[in-house]
Amino acid sequence: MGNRWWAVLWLGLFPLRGAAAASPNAGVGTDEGFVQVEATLILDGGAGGRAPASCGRGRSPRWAWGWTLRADALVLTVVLLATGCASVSQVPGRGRSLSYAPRETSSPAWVEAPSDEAPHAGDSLPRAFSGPEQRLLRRQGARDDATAVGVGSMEGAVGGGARSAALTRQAVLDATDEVKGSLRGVEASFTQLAARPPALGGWGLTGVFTRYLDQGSKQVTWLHGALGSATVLTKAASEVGDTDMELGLMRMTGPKLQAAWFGTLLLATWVDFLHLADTVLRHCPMCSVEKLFTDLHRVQGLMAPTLTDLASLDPERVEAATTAMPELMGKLTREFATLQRETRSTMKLGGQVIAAMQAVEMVTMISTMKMSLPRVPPSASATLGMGLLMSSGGVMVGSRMVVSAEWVEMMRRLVQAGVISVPAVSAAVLIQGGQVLMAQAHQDLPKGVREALGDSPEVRGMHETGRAGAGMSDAPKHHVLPQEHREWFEQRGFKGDMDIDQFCVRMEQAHHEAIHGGGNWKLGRIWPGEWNRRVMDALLQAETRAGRRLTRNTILRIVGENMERYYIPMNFVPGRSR
Amino acid sequence: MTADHPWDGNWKARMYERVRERGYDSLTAFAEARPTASLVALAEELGRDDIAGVQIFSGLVAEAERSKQLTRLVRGQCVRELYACLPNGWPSVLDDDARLEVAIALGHWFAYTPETHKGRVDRAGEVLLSSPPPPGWRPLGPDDELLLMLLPDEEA
Repeated sequence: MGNRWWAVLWLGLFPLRGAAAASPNAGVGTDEGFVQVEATLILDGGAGGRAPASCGRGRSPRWAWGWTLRADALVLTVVLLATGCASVSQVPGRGRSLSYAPRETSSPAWVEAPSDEAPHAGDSLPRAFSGPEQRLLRRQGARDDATAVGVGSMEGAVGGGARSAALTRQAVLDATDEVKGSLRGVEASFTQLAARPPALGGWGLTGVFTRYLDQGSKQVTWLHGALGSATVLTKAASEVGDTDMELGLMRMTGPKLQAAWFGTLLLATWVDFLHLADTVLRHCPMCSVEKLFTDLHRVQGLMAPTLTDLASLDPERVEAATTAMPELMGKLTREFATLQRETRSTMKLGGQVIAAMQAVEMVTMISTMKMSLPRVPPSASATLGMGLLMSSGGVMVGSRMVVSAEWVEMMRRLVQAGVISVPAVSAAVLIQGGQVLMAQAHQDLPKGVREALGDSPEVRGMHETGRAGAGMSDAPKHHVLPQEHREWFEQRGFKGDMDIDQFCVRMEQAHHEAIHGGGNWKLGRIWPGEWNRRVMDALLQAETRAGRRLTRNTILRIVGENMERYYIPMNFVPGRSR
Repeated sequence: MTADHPWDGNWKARMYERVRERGYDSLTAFAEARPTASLVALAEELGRDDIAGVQIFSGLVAEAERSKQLTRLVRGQCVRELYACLPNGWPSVLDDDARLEVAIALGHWFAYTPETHKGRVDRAGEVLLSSPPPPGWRPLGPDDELLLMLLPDEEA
């Protein structure tokens, strides 16, 4: 059945695409167009400093929006002309997939690929299952299966929980690493744009336009902060030695990772606009500088609310902004296409040389929005109305691979562990697949793709009772580590990204009352089951008996064991201090 | 009678219904038949998704108060905590790691002790560390000799 659908899609694709893309050889991995672009970039790398193949990032899954492909438009144009790649404008959407598809050997970090930021391979290796951890695993294996919050429920047997946690940690590290790589690419583009000497006549992103560059650079700061927090939390998770708590800590990275991921994507899109603006300023003397300034201002206004929401790192705001991203990307794509079309007609009017026209086309070629931008010359978008399809190699749109199987697998882990939500991954795949021009908020992926990405009723349920769902998002937040002992916790390492305000849980009022020994049932007051008292009793007594200060990890372990006894899921959300 | 969550509905009625279904006439009898099981394990056996460990403990305390068996319950809780933290029994060498495990177990025990007995449990913990039991000591029930010496029944 899948094959038949595939065939229909493939045939449907045919009239819309250039011959190169629709030829039977245009499948994954054999697309000559891909090779062309890659070759081109290698040529460019001679001047631009492409990273060597062994740049210290040994793992293969590439998970980045390929804006890193962006290079100097003019250089590329010259190279393209020199290599006679006239057909390159029909290469289907290679811009992102180059770095997205893991089997490619190309590194996304050509602009600048410092090898000193290699992934924390040491941290991420599964720890030996021995010693105290082994005991914990045995104790918690059963509950892992039972509670809706553990990936253990997916993985099964005792010990599977820990192995699964290790794989989840690896996925978080990979994901963080990829976003970092992408962000480096974006940063490099800003630096590059800012450093470009003005062309003859002083044109370039100078003067009033510098504010647009600065605007982008400012975003980079919070993006680095979010990624830094995610790294701190992942490191803490790797050290905690308690499967449930480890997953709880990793889930805390979710909103930060998600915000950085989509923030970087938006920033990359902004870089596309700046590239286009730069090209317009340099090559189109007849284009109105005032209009361009206003256009950019409008685009900036479109992005601003989403960037603010993402920068807040508030789980609910991040989730809402993420879900609305395909729609926003659709708007931005339209803006970009309009700006480009207007520039093209103005250039035609002014009888611009072909090189200048090519420069404008090249910006499109390397754009983050490439997948959704209308073909050149403007016609119906090739990807409009075309379905996404799960294949063994990854997610496809027609004959084109949108995301690789490895990426899907990484996302599946993150989704099932509750780190990243299904709507967020769906948004990413929709954007990646260019399905944004008709995008509406809360658009769903086809069932097959969703399932491959780890969607299931359990996972949805987890998010509903967790950080992102609709039902629980109104439930009040409660500190798990008692606030009246804030200082005590601070002295034991609960500071910064790990301060006690990060460890809140949402709880229905009735459940909360019950747990705190109140509620309307009689037994409630018989035992002094007040949460704060019990947790502090356990912690203080343990510290006294140990004869030394408890470490943060030991505290988390003790608290985690208590949460288990109270049936409080380890879905932490940041809360406010009193 | 099932619920979506341990804290939904009348959990006390739910818990006792399950206890009777399993052929016990009290929660204490059910728990004493599984003397080394953790509270979480007991809860899971009664209701995987709608009974919580603290609810079991609360029920056990209520029953022990009525039957004046609180000290026995406290010893029983000690068995559960030690069994979980020290599966191989009392450590032969009390190095930092081993001592931490003991301390965590004693911390949990103290926290899951009714107010009336906290003082005695606190002292018992102190005694256990100052004059340690033989290596490998692993009480398997509330009638363990050493435990009985440490926390003899006071109730008449």
